[in-house]
Amino acid sequence: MTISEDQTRQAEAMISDNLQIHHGHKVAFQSVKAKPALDLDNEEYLNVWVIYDGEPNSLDPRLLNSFHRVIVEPLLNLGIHARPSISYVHQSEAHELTI
Amino acid sequence: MDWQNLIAISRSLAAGQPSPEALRRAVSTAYYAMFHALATSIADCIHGPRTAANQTDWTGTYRSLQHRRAAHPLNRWHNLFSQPVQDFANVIGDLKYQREEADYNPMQSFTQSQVSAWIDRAEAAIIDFYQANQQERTMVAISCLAGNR
Repeated sequence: MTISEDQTRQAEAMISDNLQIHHGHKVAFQSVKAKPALDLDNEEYLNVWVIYDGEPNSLDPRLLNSFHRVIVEPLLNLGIHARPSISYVHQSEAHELTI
Repeated sequence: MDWQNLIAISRSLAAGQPSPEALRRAVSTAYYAMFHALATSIADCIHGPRTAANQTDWTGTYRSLQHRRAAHPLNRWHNLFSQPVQDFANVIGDLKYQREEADYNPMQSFTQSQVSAWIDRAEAAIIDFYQANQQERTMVAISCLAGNR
């Protein structure tokens, strides 16, 4: 893995900040957890889980999809060239995650 | 393969009180909905809609799409494409990672809300991708089949 622990924590903070802006502060995002991982081709990526509150249908899939474009450059500014793969998990299910 | 049917199957797997295995299959099926939507678009753009006359060539092109290429359909040329096409490319790449975790990593867990969001995102991305004009989708087809990754 080339992504350091420090870079991972910085990425979590950056993603958290940008999420609120991207969604116009209309969704209660509670926390962001990131973990570097390797795919089957040994390509590194950043696995990210966003914990949110509210109704599941409060998430607009198109806003979720466009968020990738928003954070690519900030990730590069942190020295992270790996792609993010962001999952959105309702807070009521957060305890089911094995991160 | 009809991507809409695959999305519907994915939704049915994630509905109710799904088992962990059903959620894994739902993630994988949502990815395959995107993969087959892309393969269909590529074959249609290269050969036109499938007919009895072009079936062999159409199917050959359809089957030539590789998962690694599908995860990077725009290669390094993202800025040449519209935002909906960029979003499709990003989602299929991001979902491929999740599909690999779902299919091969027994330690990875998935929750119902998480999987439902991925299904909704896959569906929205495909719908918007198919709104792109033929010329742009042909550029995606060429990028996918002749990419340099």
